[in-house]
Order: sequence, then structure tokens, then C-alpha cells
Amino acid sequence: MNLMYSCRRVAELLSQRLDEPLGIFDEMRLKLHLSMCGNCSHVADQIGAVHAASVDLLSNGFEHDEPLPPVPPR
Amino acid sequence: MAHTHGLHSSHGDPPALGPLPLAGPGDATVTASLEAQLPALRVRLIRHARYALHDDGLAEDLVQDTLMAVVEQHGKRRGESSLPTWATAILKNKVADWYRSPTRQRMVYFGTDDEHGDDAIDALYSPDGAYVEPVPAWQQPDNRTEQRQIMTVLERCVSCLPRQTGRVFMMREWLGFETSEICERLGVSAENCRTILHRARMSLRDCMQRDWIGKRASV
Repeated sequence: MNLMYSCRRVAELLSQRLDEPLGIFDEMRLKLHLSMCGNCSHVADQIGAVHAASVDLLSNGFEHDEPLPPVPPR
Repeated sequence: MAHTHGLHSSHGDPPALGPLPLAGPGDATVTASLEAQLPALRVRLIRHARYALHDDGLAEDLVQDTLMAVVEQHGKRRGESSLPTWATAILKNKVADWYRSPTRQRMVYFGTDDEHGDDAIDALYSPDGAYVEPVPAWQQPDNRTEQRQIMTVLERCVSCLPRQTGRVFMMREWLGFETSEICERLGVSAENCRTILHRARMSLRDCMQRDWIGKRASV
């Protein structure tokens, strides 16, 4: 068994972890990988930042003032 | 696309912003100031609803219902949140109810997105799944102006998500549906749902990197 996940797999787990708890082995291997991989640590921070900013943005509504794109006549 | 989704239909009616019922005696000033805010509020809410539904007519109908509720309930509301935040929460309930409505399945086409657009994510990795280029760290925003700019860029990035990806993302991050419920409501597998959410978040990360971090660094 390969003890290390690929960075690609780590990114998938980082997203999955926002929606459901990971199994204990996935969680351990994820943490091990993050402790040794700068790229994935940055991606972890960034996925977390995008998630937090999205939730914030969506609960408060979109507020910038660009006009709406045209809608077809009804 | 025709909508007959059982809610108050606004077809043929003037756009919601005509004379509005007064909230009650003594509230004339409050009501007048509410009325003045409704057009801008409507634009915000429609924008929001479109990202979650990807259906303009349906978005307008649900926003119309929301504005009716805003006008009716405004006098009773406690002033803890801003008007847009409060109205967005009402809209959220209406959109969630719509997704949960047993009659809506046949109203809107729920297709899958084509694979176009996933290339940017695939291009991040080598065949063995490592990052091809070093991933730069993001800096914290310096101040409120930057914070607002981030939100503007993020909204633009959300608006660029493909239809089904955008729906799934909004159901999860805005409506707060569990992934199991998203699967059920949209008829996609758990694995598919996971993949869509992951691709949505990576697309947003990529979009933010390009349109915010990249531009900020070059200033």
C-alpha cells in the first residue's frame, strides 16, 4: 500500500472534508502529507479561504453595483 | 422554458414594484424608505437566485415572492441584520423549498456539464498527481477595501461556474444542503456530487488566483 497520497488526491480530500468527516486513515494520511508538502499546505489554506469567503458572501448577498445582464422578454 | 411550479406566478404582472401595501398605521416613513430600497434589493436578489437556479424566469418568480414577504414582514422584523442580509435569508428559504418541492423535478432540465472547463484543474497536476508549478501562498487582505474587492472577484468567479456545478455549489454553500440531499434532489451519485463540489472549489481557487492574487501581485 502506498502510504502517501498524491497532491491531486489530497486536494480532493480537502474539499470532501468540508462536506463530511473523513475516515481515520484518510485523515491521518492527509495530515501526514500536509506536514511534508508546502504546495498542498497552501492549497489547503486556499480551499479553506474560498469556502469561508463563499459562505460569507452568500449569506450576506451580492452587493456590487454592476447592472444585471439583459433578460429575454417574458 | 415554461414554469408552472405552483408558486404565485408573476407572468404578465408588472414587476413587483408598483404600489405596495402599507405595513401598518404609523409605519408610513419606514414603508416609504423600504420602497425606495426595493429596486436595488431586487437586482441583488435576482443575481443571487440566478446563480443558484440557472433559470432566469424561475429566479424572477422566487424573487418576486421574496419581495412580497419582505414587504409583508418588514414591520415585524427586529433590526439585527441589514435589509439585504435578511431578504437574502428569505430568498434562501424559498429556493430551498423549491428544490425540495416534489413537483419541480420536471420543470427544469438537470443535465450534467460537459467536461469543458476542467482542463484548467487537470493542467495543475503532472501524470503522477503532483503540482507542476509551485503553489504560491496567498496573503491576507490588508484592509476592508481589499476585503470588498475579494468579494467582488469571488462573485464574478461564482457567476462563471457552469450550470450544474453552480447549482451544486450553491445548494451546498448557500442553502446548506448535505451532500446526500443534493444527490437525491438532483439525481446524481455521491461520487459525482463530491467531484462536482471539488471541481467547483478548485475552479474558484484558480479563478481567485488568476483574477485577484495575480493582479494584486502585478500592481
